[in-house]
Amino acid sequence: MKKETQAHLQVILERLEKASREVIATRGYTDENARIRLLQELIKEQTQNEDTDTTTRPIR
Amino acid sequence: MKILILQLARFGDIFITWPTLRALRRRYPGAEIHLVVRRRFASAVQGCEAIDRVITLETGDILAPLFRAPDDLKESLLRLTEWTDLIAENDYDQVINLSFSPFSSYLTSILVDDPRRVRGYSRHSDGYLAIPDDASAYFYAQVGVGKFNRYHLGEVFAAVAGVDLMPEDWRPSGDWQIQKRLEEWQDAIPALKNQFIVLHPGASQRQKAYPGFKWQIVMSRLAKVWPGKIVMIGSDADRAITEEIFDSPNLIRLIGKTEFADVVALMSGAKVVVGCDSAPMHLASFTNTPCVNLSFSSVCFWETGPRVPGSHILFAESPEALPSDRVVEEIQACLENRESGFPVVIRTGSLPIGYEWRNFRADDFSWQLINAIYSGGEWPILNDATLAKGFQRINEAVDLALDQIAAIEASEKNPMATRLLEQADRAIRAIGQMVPELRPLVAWFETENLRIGPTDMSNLIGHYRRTYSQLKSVTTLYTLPEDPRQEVHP
Repeated sequence: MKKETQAHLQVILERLEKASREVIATRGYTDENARIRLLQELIKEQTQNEDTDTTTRPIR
Repeated sequence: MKILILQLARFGDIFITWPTLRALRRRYPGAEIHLVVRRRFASAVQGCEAIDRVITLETGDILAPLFRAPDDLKESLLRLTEWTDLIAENDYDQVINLSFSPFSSYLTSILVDDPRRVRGYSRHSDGYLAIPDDASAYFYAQVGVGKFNRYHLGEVFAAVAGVDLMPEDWRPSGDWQIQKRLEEWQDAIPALKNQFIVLHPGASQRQKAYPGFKWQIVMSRLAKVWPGKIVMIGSDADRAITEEIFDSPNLIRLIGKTEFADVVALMSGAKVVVGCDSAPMHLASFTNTPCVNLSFSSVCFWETGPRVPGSHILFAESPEALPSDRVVEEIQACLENRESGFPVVIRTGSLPIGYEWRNFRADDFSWQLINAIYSGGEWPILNDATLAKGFQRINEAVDLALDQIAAIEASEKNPMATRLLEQADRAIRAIGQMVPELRPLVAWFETENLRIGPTDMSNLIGHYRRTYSQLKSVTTLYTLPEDPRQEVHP
């Protein structure tokens, strides 16, 4: 993945993280949060070069 | 009944999931079984008769708005929400997540509210990771490269899904018409009517692959002792590695010319299949053809190795550390249905693991520890002073923790006791890092603590008391005797 694309997605991840924190601060963990986090994780997989490695990856 | 399985990993994992899908079909013959895979790997599901519907994750479509100018984050979120809502409308009775990733855990939690309908990773109502079943807890604690698990992923997936596999679950699709396909290939290439080897020189990642120039040496030396043909298969992505392999009279190049069904057909007609950890190697498990599998430290061969009895697994730390002569020796031994006399892992198929070391003394302590913790096996004998000290230190941390738990039970508001309990947790984790052989025990302990969902302080402390007490019952088995040279028999 090109560096510019990685950087762009990183900025988007930060925006999503901010949005997630705002929702938690005002309404607690909601469905909306779950969907924001879902999108965050989908993007993270791309920034790790579409890290769809085997299922033997650790989860945190 | 409606069942949804999430398998969002790559080709190889999807093939390893086929037996579990068949076992689910056998157990629930009338159920509707749906499978979610990534669009890119959806071809690995073609022909799997056990599923009724394939749902693809369209990553490109969902993320496309992010690459507009200006980016449209809301549109991406909307597309993802529409996709999940469409799936959720099916109101599944059970969701089985065989993906073990953060993404799949959030997806599961969105699709199903009720944790009783979930197997595999999900999320609690507070967003933290939820591990509802014991098999997934085992996966979290013990499965993966660098850990000590020896169960094949095929069996682990089945355990998570709550089904039992049968040998016939490892078979190709009936739609593929394997025998007919093989005959067609033999008609097209008459040399395939004689004995041949199938070789897949590539791998999904560089660190799993044997270098092309080494394959060249293997093939040159093999040609001197093996009169048959070598059929080289692979996708277009494998072309780079095959360019280092010269043409020769005994080589038949089929790179980019086969579909998965063709690969299985050719493997079924081959004498031996040779390759690294890759989708074709997993497909070989759908045939009766033994394999010679080159396995390096970025892979756990116990979990993803070939399953046909008589297969040989050559393990080395890295591709550079595996001499091409050894590869040739092992291919010859496999062809002649004998052992080479060198260190190798043989697929025996015997329960429960199915693999055995030959001519190599492996340290089984950590695996025996896993067996004792999860399967009630005998506790391994301790004859290492460092391990004994590790148990001792964990024992001390557990005693400290249990004292703090008692203090918190007496008075919930006890910040000192809470801090000391956290310190005990950290100490145990640190000991697991410093003494890797004890990591299975520490990982089990940490996973059990992680499994508790949002609850009140009383339940939380009760849970901690139980897990610490269980840990104590193990560490006291290994209390250091007065003479440190004495073996500890638990």
